[in-house]
Amino acid sequence: MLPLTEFPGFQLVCEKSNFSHEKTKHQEQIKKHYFNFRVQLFIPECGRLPKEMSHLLSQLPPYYLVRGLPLTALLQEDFIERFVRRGSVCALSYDTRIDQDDSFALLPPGSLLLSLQKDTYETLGLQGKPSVYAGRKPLHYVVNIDLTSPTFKSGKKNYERVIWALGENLSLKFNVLVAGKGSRGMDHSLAEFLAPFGGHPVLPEFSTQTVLPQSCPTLHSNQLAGQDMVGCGAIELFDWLGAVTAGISCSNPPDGYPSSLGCPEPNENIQQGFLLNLTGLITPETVLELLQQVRNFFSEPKFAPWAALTVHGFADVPVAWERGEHGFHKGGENLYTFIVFVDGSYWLLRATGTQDACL
Amino acid sequence: MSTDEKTTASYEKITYRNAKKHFYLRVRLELQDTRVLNAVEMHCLVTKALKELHGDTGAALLCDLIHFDSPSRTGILRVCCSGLVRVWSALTMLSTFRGQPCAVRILQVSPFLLSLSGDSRSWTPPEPTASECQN
Amino acid sequence: MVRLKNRYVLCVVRGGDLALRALSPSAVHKTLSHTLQAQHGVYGQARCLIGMTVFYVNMKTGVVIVRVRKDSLSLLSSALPFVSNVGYPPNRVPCHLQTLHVGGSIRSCQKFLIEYHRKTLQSQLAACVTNEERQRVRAAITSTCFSIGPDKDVDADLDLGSD
Repeated sequence: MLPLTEFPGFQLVCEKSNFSHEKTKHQEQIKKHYFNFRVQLFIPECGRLPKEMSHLLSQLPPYYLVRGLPLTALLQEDFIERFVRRGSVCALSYDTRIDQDDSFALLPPGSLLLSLQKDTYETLGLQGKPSVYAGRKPLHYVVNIDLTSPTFKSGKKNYERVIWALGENLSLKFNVLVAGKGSRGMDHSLAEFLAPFGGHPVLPEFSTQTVLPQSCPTLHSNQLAGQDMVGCGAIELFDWLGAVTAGISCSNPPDGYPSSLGCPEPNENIQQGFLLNLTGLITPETVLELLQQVRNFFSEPKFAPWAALTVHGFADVPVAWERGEHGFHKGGENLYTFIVFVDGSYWLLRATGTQDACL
Repeated sequence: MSTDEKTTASYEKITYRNAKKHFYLRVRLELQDTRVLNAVEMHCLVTKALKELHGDTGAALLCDLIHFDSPSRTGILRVCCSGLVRVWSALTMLSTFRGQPCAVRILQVSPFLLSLSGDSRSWTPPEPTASECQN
Repeated sequence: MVRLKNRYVLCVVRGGDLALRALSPSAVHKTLSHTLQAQHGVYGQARCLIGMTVFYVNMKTGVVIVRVRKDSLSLLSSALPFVSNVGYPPNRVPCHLQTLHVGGSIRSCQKFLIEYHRKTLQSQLAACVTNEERQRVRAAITSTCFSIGPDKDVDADLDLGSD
């Protein structure tokens, strides 16, 4: 085979379950995906934002933006005691490309992941591992520092070494996004902590738009793989959702000149649709709340047969799902979609690119 | 009993690996000319680029321009998986459009159309407003 | 040590005497190069031309042997049916190419060629009316065949035909 016809690998994991199922894992799946960049909600046959949801959106907690934050600031004992040990803070460097630059992420369980280029790694002087995607001659290394370890405190050798390496030796500075979770008071103290470093709170931006009438695939909650003439499968729906969110009309004739994109069969016409975009560093807790609102939305009879909640992860994160290492390769995509049905069942579609682990 | 059976049978998992037919590319055309381009012209340009680098077999590839925004000259291309490398290389090597120098920037490549609407690399966090700074 | 693997494509130019007269290694190379560019573009042409040589052309029988790298064989073999003429611009002659054999070595191509001529000999002789024509066919065949074995093998076959 000619190498010209090869393409990067990818994966789409589709799951079907019910919110009332005793083994349902929707909460775990949301909590495992730490760094969410954008949340999109699409409800067919719905003209405007449901009232409870607008209430939720007006009360979203802010995230913080700090430019040139020295990494040692996140290693202060005070910070670790107040935020990290409670598992209530996550931080991510931005404007750093994971395949070209050094980047880091502070995961809520309390570990600091540094994803470093070879040069930085070799001058840093901390022990790490070559990236699992690096091949035989690694140019990329990952250093994992457990901040919650009982030995990680002032006076201990390990702690002093890390402080020296990241402070005096290299003085790594990043542009950082920080998000805290929990009570209002916690948010306030996080803001106080970050203020000396020039951190300022930012509210997630949201925008809503109404989707024009068009054809929409017919879904049956018990047919995940789809069936001819009965209902569309998850894989077709996933592409159709992409077309809707990108503002592409699928109702072109199949022999249209520049494009031959069509709506998957079978389909039905919808009069309108509602699309919500929420952008920023969004914590898994916010996503959970939104999902709960979507479920509440269906507690009263509605025209909409289903609703789709899509969550995009940052492309340049060292970890996308729980502990699996994440790389960029060609696209770095990591996203998941919940299709919530009226009857309480849901589909969870998780999509990843080449360099990612998604179980 | 019957409800129990229903709930246990309701869990299902399917994993699709490399099982999609298409790849999507978000591209931007850079051109000095300020004339307004339409989708058909852009599609012609892509076909021309393919024909130049990969000949008739390249030009015969199924390559749809499913979306084109004239003011920003940004579009989304859909190609079959086996044609991804050929379309990408042809667009990279393209250098002239009607005698003028031009370039095509590949902004994002993904097998999922949905992921093109969430591009975190081109996103910049909002700057603080003046009032926030004073606070 | 990595060994470069080659493939030898044996084909016949069909297009009458005029086409045969226009044949030369450089003319065939130019024709193939043009066809490759039309079919596979600049990339396909450049890729296929690495290590491609036309190293045997027979102006009498129209047999052409082209050597290509193994990995670009598919490019060449898919372009061969699209060859429509041969020669340089003033006297470009319409013709087409018929691929007979693809071998891994020159030896296998020669073996095939002998077998091929042996098979076509009977039909060619049957088409001859006068003895003179038979002599001409015989001379043509003799000039094409490589003498890899004892000469009398080929002669014996030809004698059988001329009787």
